[in-house]
Amino acid sequence: MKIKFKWMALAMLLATFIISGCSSSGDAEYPSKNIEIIAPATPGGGWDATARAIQNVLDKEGIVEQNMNVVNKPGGGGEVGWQYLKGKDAHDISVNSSLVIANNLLGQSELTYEDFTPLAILATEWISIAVPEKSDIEDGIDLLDRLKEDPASLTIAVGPALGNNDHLSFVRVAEEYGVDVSKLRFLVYESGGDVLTALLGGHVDLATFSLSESLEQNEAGNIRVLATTADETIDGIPSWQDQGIDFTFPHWRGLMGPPDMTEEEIAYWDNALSEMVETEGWKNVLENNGWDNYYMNSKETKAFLDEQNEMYKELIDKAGLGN
Amino acid sequence: MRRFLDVDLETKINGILLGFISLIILSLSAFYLYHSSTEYVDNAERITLQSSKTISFLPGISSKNNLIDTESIGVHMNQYVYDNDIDFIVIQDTTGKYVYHPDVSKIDEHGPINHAMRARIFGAYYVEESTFDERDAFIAYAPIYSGTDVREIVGMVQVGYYKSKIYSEIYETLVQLLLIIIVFILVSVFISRWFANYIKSETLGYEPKEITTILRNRENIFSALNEGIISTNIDGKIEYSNKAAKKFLNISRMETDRTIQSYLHDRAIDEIKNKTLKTDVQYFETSYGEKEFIVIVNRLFEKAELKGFVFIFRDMTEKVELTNKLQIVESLFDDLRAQSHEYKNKLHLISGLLEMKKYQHIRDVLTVEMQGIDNYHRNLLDIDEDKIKALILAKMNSASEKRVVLTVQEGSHMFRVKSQRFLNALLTIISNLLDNAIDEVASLPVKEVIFYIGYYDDWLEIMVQDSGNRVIDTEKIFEKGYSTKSEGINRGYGLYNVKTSVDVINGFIDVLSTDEKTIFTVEIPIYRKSESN
Repeated sequence: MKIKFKWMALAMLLATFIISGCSSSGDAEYPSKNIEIIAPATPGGGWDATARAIQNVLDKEGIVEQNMNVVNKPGGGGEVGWQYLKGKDAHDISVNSSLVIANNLLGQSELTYEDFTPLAILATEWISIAVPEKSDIEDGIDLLDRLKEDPASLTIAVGPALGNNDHLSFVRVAEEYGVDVSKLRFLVYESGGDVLTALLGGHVDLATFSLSESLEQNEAGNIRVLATTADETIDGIPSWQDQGIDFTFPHWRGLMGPPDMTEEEIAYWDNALSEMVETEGWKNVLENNGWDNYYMNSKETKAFLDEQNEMYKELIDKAGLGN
Repeated sequence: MRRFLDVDLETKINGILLGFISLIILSLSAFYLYHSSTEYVDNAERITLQSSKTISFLPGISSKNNLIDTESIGVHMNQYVYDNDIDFIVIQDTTGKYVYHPDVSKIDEHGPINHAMRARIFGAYYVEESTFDERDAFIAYAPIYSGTDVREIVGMVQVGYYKSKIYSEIYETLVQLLLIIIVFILVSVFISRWFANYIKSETLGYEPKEITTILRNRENIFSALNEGIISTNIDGKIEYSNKAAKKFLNISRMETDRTIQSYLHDRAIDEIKNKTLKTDVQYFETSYGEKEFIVIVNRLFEKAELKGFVFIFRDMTEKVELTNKLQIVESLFDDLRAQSHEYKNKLHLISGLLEMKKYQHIRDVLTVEMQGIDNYHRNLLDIDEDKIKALILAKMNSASEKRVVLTVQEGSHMFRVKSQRFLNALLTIISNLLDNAIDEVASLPVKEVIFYIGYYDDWLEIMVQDSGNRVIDTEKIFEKGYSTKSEGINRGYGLYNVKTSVDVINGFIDVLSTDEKTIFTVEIPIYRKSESN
């Protein structure tokens, strides 16, 4: 009898804790203060553009009533920004990309995608290979042929770190074509903006970076985009598939929050973001940047990240070892 | 399992204690060993990775084109290996050419970059378990970048830590642990031996199995006895009682906390508790329920200290009854002889008077005789209990032989008695009191004894009055062996028996002596119907 009472008391105590735990976090209406959107890169790159677009649309469409600020935390291929996010509460969210997976796989970060709360995948864009306008490289195949002959003959600009999608996709294509990728010369720039600058200035022979970043200069005739990782021709730019290489590679961007966000907070962003992606404002953003809608809610994003993690692992482990 | 348990107590205790302690020590050690080995491995991985990163960022290494100056790098790296807890460093440029190698002859030669490929292509930092110089090692890889604003991978650094070093560290830990384990097990051997000896001393060296056998045998022996055996502690709390004792005293299984005092009168215990008693064995008589007992009390000592008592109950009921009956039969036999003697005397008298033709005298004698018989019988009429009546008649005859006039007082009456024990007690009381009175007055000039039995409220009263005038010590008169008369060996038991019988039926006895008469009065409570009507 006594033992029974003890168990009951314990169970009740536990129940009290659980209930109080639930109610305490549900007390304050979320969000209760200014929201920071972290762009873990310098202004001008893809992450910065994404962060500012999200802020702009959410604010203008009145989906989020709280003030929102974009903060730039460049460095370490996202590492600096994400470390910053990890110590914050649910009023900070960050833009992310595949680097959140790749950094850990490449030993450049202790952080893994599992340390954060996935909120959404918002958009995807395609990755472009571009050369300066004056380059004598004719097209994608010509480029690969030259590299196959002498991998070290060309310098390739990439940013902000090795192992990002721009880098990985190019390694993958080159490897498929039979290039000795271990001899390729990649020059690492701080951001996508720096990559473009380097290409425009002719400091490098080619660059691999997102189509959104290259499209404008391509149209202006300052650079030539030789190929994209898309599955179709975009604005007259041939994809790798168009040039006979069976390869597509979406470069996704998403949002994540700090660890241990509550169900309510996650639900808030699921609502806000699913509403946002339907707005004209957001559609314009996608249009202007050459992005495709790739919206997934929090739950779908979690599954997608797991899947991507496996894919990257395989890609990195096999690269350069001749397959 | 049963076979394993079938060993002596010492082995069992030693086995359990040693087994348990060893199990704890060994499992803790295993846990510690596992923990420290993983820690060694983690440590090796961390140290190699950190070193490879540090080296890759060293100013002399990472700034542009410095990989060419192999001599300077060699000096730096030798120093680094010397200063840090790592085993070897290998630096290759992107083509696979060794910039630094522990084997100096390999510098400037080309080697494969298979394992460093992830660092070369993706700029990855990682640790692998691999072999170097045909020895197992943890090897950490790091890319070497050159440039500041624009960076390019120019080489890879490998930092290695031989596994054999970890093994030897684990081995050292193991040796230390073994020493500690041996010490602990030795200590536990002593502890368990001491404990086993302690337990053995508590059980007087018997194995638990032997103790069980001893107890079972004792129970069997005690159950087989007709005598009741009860052992108590010093306060009289019953600690053990055998079957017979339980039957005698109606001790049920449920009553576990009863004391012996609730079965015997308190005085008995107080008396035996008295330490000045010389012998450890005491006797007394008592009764409980329908039964009478002789109780033998043994005092138990432990180290000269009184610890408790053993009571042996001997059922005396039948013996007492038999003794009483025998006594009565004996006295009846006596009385019958007296009666016939008396008749013979009367017949002689009448015959003599006939001879002398003194018919008037004969008539007188007969009238007196007839009156006497009538008187006797008239007052005896209301005594319904035949055995009592027979006893009184017999006593009358033996009295008249001694020229003692025994009269039953008018109004004497008594109902039948169902309880044999009660009746026996009454017979003993009346027979002895009457004998006593008749003997007393036989030698006196006035020879009169008056007997009365009757009821007063809830009491049965018995009164025996004689014409004697004894000096009576009322304290001593009822003690065993006390007598006012000096002749005969069996003297002195009559009144003691009376007192005992009175006690058995919870009665009281009183004696009063004046110059003219001595009166014994016995009062017996009869509120228990079964004993009177």
